[in-house]
Amino acid sequence: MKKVLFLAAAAMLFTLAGCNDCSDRMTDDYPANYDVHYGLRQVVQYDPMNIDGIDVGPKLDFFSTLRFTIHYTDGAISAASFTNGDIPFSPFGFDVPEGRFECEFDDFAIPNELRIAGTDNVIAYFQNGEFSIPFQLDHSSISYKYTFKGVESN
Amino acid sequence: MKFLKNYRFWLATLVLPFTVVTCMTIEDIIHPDDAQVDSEITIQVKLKFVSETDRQSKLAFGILAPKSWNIANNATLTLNTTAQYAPSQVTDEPMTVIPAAQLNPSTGTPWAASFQSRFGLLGNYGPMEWVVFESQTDFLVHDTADDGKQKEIDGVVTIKLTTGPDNMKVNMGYAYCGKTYGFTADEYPEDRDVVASKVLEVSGGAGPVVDFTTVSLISTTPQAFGYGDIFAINFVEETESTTTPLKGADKVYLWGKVVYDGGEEKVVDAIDAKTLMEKIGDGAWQRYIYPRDFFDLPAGAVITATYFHFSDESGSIVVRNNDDEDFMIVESAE
Repeated sequence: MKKVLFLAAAAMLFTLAGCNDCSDRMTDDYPANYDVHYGLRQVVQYDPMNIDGIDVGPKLDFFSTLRFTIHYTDGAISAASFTNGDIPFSPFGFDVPEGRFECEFDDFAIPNELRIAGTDNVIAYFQNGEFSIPFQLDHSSISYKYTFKGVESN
Repeated sequence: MKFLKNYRFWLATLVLPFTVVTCMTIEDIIHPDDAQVDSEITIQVKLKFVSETDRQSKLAFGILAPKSWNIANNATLTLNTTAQYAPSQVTDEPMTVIPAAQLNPSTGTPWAASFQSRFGLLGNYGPMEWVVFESQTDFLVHDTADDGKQKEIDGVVTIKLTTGPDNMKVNMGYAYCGKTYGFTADEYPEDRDVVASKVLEVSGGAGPVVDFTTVSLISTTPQAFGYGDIFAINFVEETESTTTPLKGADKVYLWGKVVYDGGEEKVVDAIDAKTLMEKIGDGAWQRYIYPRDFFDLPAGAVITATYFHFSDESGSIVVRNNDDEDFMIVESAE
């Protein structure tokens, strides 16, 4: 019985200690305005014979030069920057503004959409905790998808 | 101990019907003896279905054929069945392509993709595709009802298709399942796919035989691509019929030539990191390229042809095709 009481008391202390701050606000020492920099994690090529896709990112050096930055203001996405680097094609069917441009993040859309502010032009989709950009180049049976990883600013 | 024996008996009694629910087989494949290029040919595939329980489903029937034949648009299929149960008897019933928007319920993917993923290319090394057709009739089967008359169905799928202009040798593939169930374990044999293939040779054309049944010295990944895509040039040092002088090479380099904008030519002839091929297996090499970047072409250049050959590091050992010409790699038609 003593053992049960001891375990119950320990569990209660542990629980209370974990309830320091249950709000979803950031703590005061976390910056409200900040940037997250991304490079390509994968460039997946899908075709009818490879429906799970093949990562062609490591096969071509120019993919390492792409940079994608999300700018946060007051803790929310407000703008983005996209630099195609040395990649000789664009994944977009529209012109992306140079440098920093205002963005809208639509978390009602499934998957969530990051659009250039005031337009329907989707820069990236957000699903399962990561941004991605699907695109096609030439043959209709082949599609591609960029996925991203965090990188240091440069 | 007596309980244990009874338990085993009832377990076996209950489990058996659920583990052996159907017996689906492809009994025979009849190909034409002398298939000619650019001609309509007739193929017959004989099926047998024996039910060990009660099920109701349309027939999903897949064909693996050369992509260039475009059988989704150029083939007509009719189904004939014989059965004791009158509603399961059909005569010259047209089968139609299952629309791309409909998914195989057991995989959640389009039907053609699910057949490709499950059955693969059946020993073909060229551009082939699965196309899956469905019956109109929703077949009702039952192992005991109606004095067992609903238990068996024998079917013949008759395929009429038009061959292409090339002499070809391919492994034609055929597979089927219940459209309602797909590859669901209880309705589909887990250890034995209902799939069969048979070599089909097409002759009468002017050029050499395009043989998909053996490994080629050179291929691409993906098999179908446009010049505006990223694709890999694949090279093998040796096939069943050919051993190249690059067999056993430590390094293999890619030489390339492009023809663009109505006759302009550019050559990449270098022994460096850009042309070094990646060893991807025993005697197998690969180099991914984006042609505009590889050949350093101006923006908007329209490519009309590409040519490649392979060499060792010294450049003294070179592999070209049997006619000692560079291998021509052509983009795929849409």
